[in-house]
Amino acid sequence: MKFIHCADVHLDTPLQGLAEYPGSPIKEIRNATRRAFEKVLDSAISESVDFLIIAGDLYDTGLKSFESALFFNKQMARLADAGIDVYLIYGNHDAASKLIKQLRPPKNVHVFRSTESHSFSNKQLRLAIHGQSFSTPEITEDLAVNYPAPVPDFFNIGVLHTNLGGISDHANYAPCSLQTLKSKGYQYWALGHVHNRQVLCADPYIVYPGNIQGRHGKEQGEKSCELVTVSDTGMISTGPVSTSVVPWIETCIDASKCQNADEVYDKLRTALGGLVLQTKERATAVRLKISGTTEAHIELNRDLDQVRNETISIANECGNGLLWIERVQVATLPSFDRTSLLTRDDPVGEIVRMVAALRSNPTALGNFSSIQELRKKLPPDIAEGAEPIALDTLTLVAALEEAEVLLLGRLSVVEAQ
Amino acid sequence: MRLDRIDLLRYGHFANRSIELPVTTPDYYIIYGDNEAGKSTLLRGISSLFFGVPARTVDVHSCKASELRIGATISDGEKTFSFRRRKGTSGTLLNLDDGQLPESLVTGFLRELDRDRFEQFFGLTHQRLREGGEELLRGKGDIGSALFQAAGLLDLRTLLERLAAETKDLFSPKSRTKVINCAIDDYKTAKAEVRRLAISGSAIKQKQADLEGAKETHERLKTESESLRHELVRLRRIASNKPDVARLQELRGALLTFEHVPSLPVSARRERDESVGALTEATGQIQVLTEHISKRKVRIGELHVNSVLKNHAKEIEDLNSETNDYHRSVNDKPKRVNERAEAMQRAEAEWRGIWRDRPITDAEKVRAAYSRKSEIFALVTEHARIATALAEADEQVRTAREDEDRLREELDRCPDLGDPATLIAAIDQTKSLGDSDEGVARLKSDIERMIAGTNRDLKKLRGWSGSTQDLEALRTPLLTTIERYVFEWEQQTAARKERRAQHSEATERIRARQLEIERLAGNIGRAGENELIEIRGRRDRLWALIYASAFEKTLSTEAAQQQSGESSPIGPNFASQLRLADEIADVRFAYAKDVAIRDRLVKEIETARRDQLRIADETARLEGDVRELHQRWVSEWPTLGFEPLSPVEMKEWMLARQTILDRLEQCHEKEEDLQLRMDRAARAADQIRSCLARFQSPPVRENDSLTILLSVAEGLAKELQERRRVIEDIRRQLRQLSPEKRQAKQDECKTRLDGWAQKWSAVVSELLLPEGRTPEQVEDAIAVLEQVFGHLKDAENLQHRVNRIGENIDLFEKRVAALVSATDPLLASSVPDVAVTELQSRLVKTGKAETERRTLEDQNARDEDVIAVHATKVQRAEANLKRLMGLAHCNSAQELEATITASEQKAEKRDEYKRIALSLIERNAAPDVREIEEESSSHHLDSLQSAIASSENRQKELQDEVFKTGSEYGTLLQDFERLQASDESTLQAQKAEDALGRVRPAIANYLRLQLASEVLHRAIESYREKHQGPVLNRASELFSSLTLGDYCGLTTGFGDNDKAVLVSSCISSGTTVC
Repeated sequence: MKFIHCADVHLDTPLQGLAEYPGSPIKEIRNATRRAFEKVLDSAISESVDFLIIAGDLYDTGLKSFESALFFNKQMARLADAGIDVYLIYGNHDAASKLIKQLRPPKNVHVFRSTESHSFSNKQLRLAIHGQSFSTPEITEDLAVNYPAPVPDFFNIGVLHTNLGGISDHANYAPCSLQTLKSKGYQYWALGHVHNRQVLCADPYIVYPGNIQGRHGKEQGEKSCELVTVSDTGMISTGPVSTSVVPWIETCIDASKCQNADEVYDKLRTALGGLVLQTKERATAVRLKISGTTEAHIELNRDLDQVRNETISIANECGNGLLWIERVQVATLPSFDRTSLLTRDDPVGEIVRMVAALRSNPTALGNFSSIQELRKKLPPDIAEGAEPIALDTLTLVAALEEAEVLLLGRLSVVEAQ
Repeated sequence: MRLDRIDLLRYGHFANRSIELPVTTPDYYIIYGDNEAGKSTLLRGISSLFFGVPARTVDVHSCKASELRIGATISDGEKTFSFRRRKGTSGTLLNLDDGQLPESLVTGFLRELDRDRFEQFFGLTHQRLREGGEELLRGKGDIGSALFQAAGLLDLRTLLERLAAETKDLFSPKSRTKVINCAIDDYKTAKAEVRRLAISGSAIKQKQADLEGAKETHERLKTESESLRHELVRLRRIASNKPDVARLQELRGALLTFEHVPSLPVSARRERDESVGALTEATGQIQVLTEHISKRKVRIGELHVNSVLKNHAKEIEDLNSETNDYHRSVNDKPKRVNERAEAMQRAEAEWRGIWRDRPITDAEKVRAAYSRKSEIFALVTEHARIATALAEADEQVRTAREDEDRLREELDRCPDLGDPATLIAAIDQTKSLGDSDEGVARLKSDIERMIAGTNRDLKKLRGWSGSTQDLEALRTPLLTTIERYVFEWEQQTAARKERRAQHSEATERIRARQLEIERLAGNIGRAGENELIEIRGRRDRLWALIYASAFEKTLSTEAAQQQSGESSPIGPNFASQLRLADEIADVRFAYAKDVAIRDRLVKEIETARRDQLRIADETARLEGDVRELHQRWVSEWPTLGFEPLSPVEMKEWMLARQTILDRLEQCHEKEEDLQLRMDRAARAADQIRSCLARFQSPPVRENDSLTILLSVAEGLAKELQERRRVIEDIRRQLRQLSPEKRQAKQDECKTRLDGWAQKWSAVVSELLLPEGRTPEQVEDAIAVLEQVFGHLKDAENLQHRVNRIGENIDLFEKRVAALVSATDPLLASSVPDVAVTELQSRLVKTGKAETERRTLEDQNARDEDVIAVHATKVQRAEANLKRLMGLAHCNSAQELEATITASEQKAEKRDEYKRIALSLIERNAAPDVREIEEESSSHHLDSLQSAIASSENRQKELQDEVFKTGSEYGTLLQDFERLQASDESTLQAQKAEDALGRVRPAIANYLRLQLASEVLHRAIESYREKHQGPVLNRASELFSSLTLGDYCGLTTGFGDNDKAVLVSSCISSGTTVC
């Protein structure tokens, strides 16, 4: 018996944080989640699996267009043609989506009810799959407790959308414990909700396959679904099948030995050149972090826009049109002694002291009229999501730090020092 | 440059007015005048004069723009230049006759001065002063910024402006084009698009329902159309059966009439015809062949064959074929006999050439020796080789002795002087120094040039009279210190220049106003406002005295007269003042405009004079600053030895000094290099001289240069090397001569020659030749022997051939005789070849007769076989005819013919019936014809055609409907599939994220810049609070002066938004401005 276990498809969710610029691989990111889902199905068909499990969060909360559901149905028809059944539970995002309520799933898709846990069985495969969908977006009780007892002499699979062990990065929905899952006596637990692949236990197998396509800079690395093979003797072997269409990668550049920005750019060129070899000819979203205590600190921070533009230029030059620079974070530290600036009785000292004073009272930053004007202009919904844009205290304090470096850089005080 | 005269020909309200400004002491003029007197107009006029009239000017109101003219005479101490200026865009500089002049004539006087600088330095009008003060008040001349800048951050204002500009580029609350505004709009638009393009669930359900409905309708119509098509096929089939069914019934009736006719085979007619034909042909053939056989038998009887000849046919033919050989042998035999005799004669003649006394028969005795002729030739060759080797050996021995003598003589003539390696090493070492003389000369030249250059620069160094060592040791301030002085110096120079310009401008203003007042005096005389006030004052004072003495009686007339201070009586004086005041008032009223102008001019002159005083004060203060700076500057150069020049000049001086010092440094380096080179050259020369002495070279002079020494040494070294090479070569040749080897070789050759002579004498005796025959003679003898043995061989061969010919002739004649006796003894008298020919002729004839007989017999046999075959055919044909008649139940050929015809007609009709029936069964897929006939008979043809027509019409309608519903279904299906593949909403969502992607860095940048700007503002303010005290006091003084005393200096206060502002109070109005 062979099956594929995937979860957190979040169909038709846009990739966040990628601003188009000349030379960016715009075509490659279009419909990335759809194409990743197609890759899952391609694998299912080419591997001739017996069935596919989707462990929740097929759709995203914000989706309002039924075109996603139609796309899903059409893809399910492909599996139906190949004789592959699909077992689906709805997760917290699905429960919040109206897409699941109005459109009937195709016949080969078996959806678990949300009112109670129950089982689907296949006598030919000697298979029993147990599960329960989310009825509401926020389920706080442990659903696994009430899952049915295993069917003797059958291969028992539990499908559950859960935050196992209360992983802090994710909403604590349907929490459960490893002990609870083990005590059920199933052979395989197909979990969903956590977006990083994790094999939590090998006896029984308790697996989070992660989501199939990273959607923003925090969901980095290769994304996959799980191909599970069960031998006639009941031996289970499992492994990831890559599904990322556009992987996200964070690269750190250590600028500590660089004397100026040009040297940083040289290191950056080398790093991006190396990155191209890892892309496997796929468009790749890159988040760059330049760090270290460096002489180039002031020069880099004098005009961060220029740093970003230079980075994009280098990426276009050596990236074969595959690298998309999502963000360039200049997190360098100055090589000069900042505390000595504080004691200076001149305008530079005044500036540094002023920044220190503002830093000690960060709420005042938000009261600046220019900040308030901008706040009024920003749509409220952009302050939500994985990469929120909010003019909160943390953001303002970070900007203040950058402002200080910018001022010192532009006033060339370091040279004077 | 100074202005000597200004001609206000037509400018502003001036017309034909000139202001003369001759050189005076002190050399400045104050032009003053009341408000509206024209001071500012004059100032603008001067600006226009130098830099052109601006395109938009307020000074064109009393003439046309093209007639506007202002002129001047200017001088710079050396030359004077008079010109005019008109309004226009080019060629506006004119001479006094309005001829065009090049602009460079004026710019030469102006030097670096441009309009901006002129207006900044000299064009400060009252209004601009007020504007400047107000700008300072408004904070545009922020004292905080000034303080920051004073602290060394000179680009502060630029930075602030840039920060503001950069933040403004990113975001503005009201804008739609800024980066953040734009991206946010894009985000909102994309979000709206997402909502607009979102497909609802109900819409999809409706689409699904429409699709299913369309599919059902389409399927239903397709089914109906299909069944109708089947019915139509059935009806058409029945209709098409009708003619065949009718023909079938007709054939069935016809077959009944042929019922009594016997059924003959289909091939009956053909069989009958073939049998009759075969019978006729076979009978004829038998008859012809029988006749031929009879004729051949007669001919066979006539042919005769000789059996005896037949028995000896082989012998006859053999002998006949050998007849030619027989004739040839008979003719050839005598010829061969003669040839043999000739060969023997030739052999003997050759033999006698060498062996004269010996018979030819002895030739066989030497055959054994001749058979070993290769050995003899080898001996001859060996002899030749030994002889040659011996000759060569002799020659070599002789040559070696001669060469040895010659080489030893040469060696004696050429003694070895020793190894020149040391000399060559010395030469190489010297060469490695390069062209020492040239290098030294070049270095010397460089040094001289540098010293000359240094001296030249030293002379050019302003004020310096010391040596280069003094210059090097001079204590100088650091370059940064000089830079600082340069800056301060330039600041002070600029300030002084500005003050001077302001002073000149005030003078010019006063002069212009005075001229204007003079001009106005023509109309209003001295009816100025001040005069009027003065007269009125006097009038009022007199009136008060009159009133006091005449009416109030508080004052006596004398006292009043005394208090009036006038000599004339108080009453007439009052009347005179009263009249004068009235006259002035009347004049002022009559010339109100001129009066107003005059009053304004007077006020402006006063203001200008105040300006001059203030400027003089400031100039004096600046002079003090300059002196103080000068003293400080001088103190920086304690060891200079002369008064230092200005910092700018000293900066250049320092650079020149550094150039000199650098050059001196280079000069020293080159001198050291020169010394080093010379030392090395001397050492090399000594070394070469010692080497030359050792090899006894031609003497060199003590003062010969290194190049000459090198040349001599190289020549010597070359000669020594050549001599050593020659000696070595001779020695090598001597070693190679080796005369002993050559002698041994000669002896060996002689031994080999003795051995050969023994072998040779044996060969000569074996060949029956006398002793002492040379190899050449023996070679000749062997050549003769070869000829002799050849001839003898020929003679022997010819003898054998003669014997063989005779034997052949005898054998032929014996065989002919035997044959003749066996065949025809009568031929025994004939010669053998004739008898053989005759017998051959007879044998040929007998053979021909026998051949013909056999041919005829074969033909007869074949014909008899053919006759037998034809007889069989006759029998078979007769049997067939008999069988056919039996089948047709008839006895004659005629009856058979009729029966066959009837039978054929019957078969034809039956076949047609079967074909039609089969076709019907096949077409209708029915088991038998009966069913088809019944179905056909149940439908009338007319009603059938009518039903077909109506069905066809319905079918057409149905097909149209099916097509229509199919199209509708296809369209709906395509729509639905498009929906299934639709990603428009998703793409818009991605666009929204793209906009957010642009917003994010832009906001970060905006926050950074905005906070930087805010921090900077606050830091400036904070710094101001701490450091503003002394600066503000000085600024307050300046501000009061700048506002002509209208404002009482500056203090700090708080504006409406609690921001620190500068505050000043207006003295005249008592108002406070921020």
